[in-house]
Amino acid sequence: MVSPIRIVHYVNQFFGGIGGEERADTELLVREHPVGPGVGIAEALGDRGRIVATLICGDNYFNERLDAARSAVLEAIERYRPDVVIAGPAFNAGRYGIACGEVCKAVTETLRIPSVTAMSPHNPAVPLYRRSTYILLTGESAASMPRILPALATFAHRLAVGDAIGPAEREGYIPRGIRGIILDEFPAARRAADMLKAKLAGEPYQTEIPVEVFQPARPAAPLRDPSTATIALVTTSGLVPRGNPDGFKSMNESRWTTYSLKRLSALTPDQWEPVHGGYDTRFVRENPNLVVPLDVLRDLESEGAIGRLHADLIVTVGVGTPVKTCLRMGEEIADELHRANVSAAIFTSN
Amino acid sequence: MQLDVGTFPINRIVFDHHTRLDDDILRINRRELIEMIQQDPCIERAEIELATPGESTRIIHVCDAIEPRIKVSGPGVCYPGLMGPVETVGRGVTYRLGGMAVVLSAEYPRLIETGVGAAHEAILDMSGPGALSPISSTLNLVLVLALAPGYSQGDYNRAVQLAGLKVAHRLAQTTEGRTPPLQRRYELPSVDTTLPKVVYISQFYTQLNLPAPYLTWYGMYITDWMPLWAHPNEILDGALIPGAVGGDAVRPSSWEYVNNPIIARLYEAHGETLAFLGVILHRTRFEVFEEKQLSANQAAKLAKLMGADGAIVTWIGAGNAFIEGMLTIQALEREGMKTVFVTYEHGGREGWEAPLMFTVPEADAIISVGSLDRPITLPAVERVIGGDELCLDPEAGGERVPAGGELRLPWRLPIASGIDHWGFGRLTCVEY
Repeated sequence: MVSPIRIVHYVNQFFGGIGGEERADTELLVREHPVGPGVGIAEALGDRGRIVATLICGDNYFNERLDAARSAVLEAIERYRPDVVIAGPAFNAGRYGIACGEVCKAVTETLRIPSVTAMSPHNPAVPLYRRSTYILLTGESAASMPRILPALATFAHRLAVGDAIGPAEREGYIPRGIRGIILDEFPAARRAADMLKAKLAGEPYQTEIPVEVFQPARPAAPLRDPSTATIALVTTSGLVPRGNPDGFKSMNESRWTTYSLKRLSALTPDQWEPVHGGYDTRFVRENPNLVVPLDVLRDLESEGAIGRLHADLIVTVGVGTPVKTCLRMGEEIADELHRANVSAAIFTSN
Repeated sequence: MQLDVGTFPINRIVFDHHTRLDDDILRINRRELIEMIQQDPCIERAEIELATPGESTRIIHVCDAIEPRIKVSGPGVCYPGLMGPVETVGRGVTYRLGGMAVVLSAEYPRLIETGVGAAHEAILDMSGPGALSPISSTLNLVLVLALAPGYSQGDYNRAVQLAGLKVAHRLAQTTEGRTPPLQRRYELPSVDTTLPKVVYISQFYTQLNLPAPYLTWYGMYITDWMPLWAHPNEILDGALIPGAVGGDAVRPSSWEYVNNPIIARLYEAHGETLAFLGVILHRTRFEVFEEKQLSANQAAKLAKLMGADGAIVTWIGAGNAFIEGMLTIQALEREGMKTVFVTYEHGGREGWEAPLMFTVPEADAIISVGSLDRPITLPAVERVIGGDELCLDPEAGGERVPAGGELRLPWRLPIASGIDHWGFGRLTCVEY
């Protein structure tokens, strides 16, 4: 027989039997046995595992002294070496939900111990923590307790023994924002025709990719006086020193870097080359200034139309890179330009 | 337009003294076919190999896969403009060899070092986790072509493509005088006027000034065309096929064009649950936003003029071309037409990145055919067709590696037809 798993269970002051709102300031208490909902979880587990400790915190204490509470809880959990941590269920209780989410996130990210909690989809903690842990779906109130405790017990056991967890809808947890590849029952062409038929008939259908509408970037205010400004050149055209010394990939790149433009009056094909799988680079190979107009910028600089050209060219290869990676690189590049007191950037693609 | 397509299912391909069809066994004279191909001065040497689904075989340097089709009666030829005049096809009788493909394998010299004109590696595994393409499930007659030095990329493309088309034609000729075991009529007769009217908007990308075409319509190089109205039968007769520079995951093969499962599905539904009006061919990947918007508006205008109530929109390619997909959905929905969009997803290595790189709120009915971005490891294979080595990212200084070894791909792009743009298969993505 497989040895029983070790569980640490987190609850608030109310479910921990300490008291109601008046005891919400209670600091961490540890009981080395199941408490409250933990009794139901332990029962459902049977000899598959046991709750080796119940951690109890007041909701106000946890939310108002987040860093201290999190450290105290982590320290206690580490001491009991659990295979898995369960928090809640928190139903639709906001502060309790945050505490459960925070505990699960911390143990999973810091201690690398799997975790699971449970709450209503309307709990304000859901959008904050759904990416960090498994949140099983509950009703709005403790009325759904009898159904959810065995589910929590089984899910925790599966996490502890390393079972593969299936898609969110099938397994009953709130989607973590991770897209996984599976096989559907029907070929996609058939699903497309069926979905169109349903949509035309006004019947219900479910899109397979929920659309996230991106916020357009708000442009910065125009320069008051370009003749005093420092201008940087930023490009996603993949223009790199000849030989591609940093080994940029021609597609799906996630790095950016800087190359010095000091003492260069224009870019020449013997020193620069494009690495990019998304456009016809033959023209750039003959004249790199087509994608990084250093020649023109140097003219403007000597005419006094712009104050100064920033000393470094900022380069990445913009093709096939996922959106979040692009956002991350954009923020990093903006930081770099801020640090260098650059007042404006000319962004060229290809 | 009425087209009868007769299918001769092929269950085995064997080498023989004569090229002929022996029930469901295709017997081929290897010598005869090789001599036919080698007449082209661009081709220095040709070999023919056979690959069967399920075997531990990898085909490398894949340029295209062609289904043998031949016009038996009616105007024009199959693969018009390339194999004969540009007479409008889609009528009469066409025979095809079912369940097989002529796969083209040729390593292009790196005449163009980077960019979209550069030839890229494309790998086709006949079994294992990399056998993602419909061409992994066909019996494949592989033409392995060594290219002679001294020609342009355009010359090579023409030579490789014609070699494939000529061999496919020769194989399809074996059906002459025989009765096809399967026959299907493709036509769009008037049906119950209360059924919803549906168009299929098939988007594809090409680029200006490429040394060899990505895609041709009746053999003509598609550049910056506005949307065009087509009969699905023209596509079944091979009027729309890609060039032969390389068939990575986001460039479907000719075999997929003539077997497009969206067209098949809409034909099945015609008169039953909907009225299939026809196909709008929509060239995408315009350089300027206004051109993208214009092409999307024009596609929606054509659909509206044809009286459509709804549309299925598919696309191929990456990044840039996706914008037109979304803009077309928006334009259609704003004109009151219901749309369903079929697409692959991004999502990054682990699947937590955004699945789509550009969206419109009107895109509320999307079918997912899986993800391009997830890494995949192709196990070592017993046999490689097409060479001993390959290089996955020469621009990044990628080294040549043994082609038969384990290949850890950071994403699925190097797999020939590795993305199922038109929904042959059952792959999808769900939330975890």
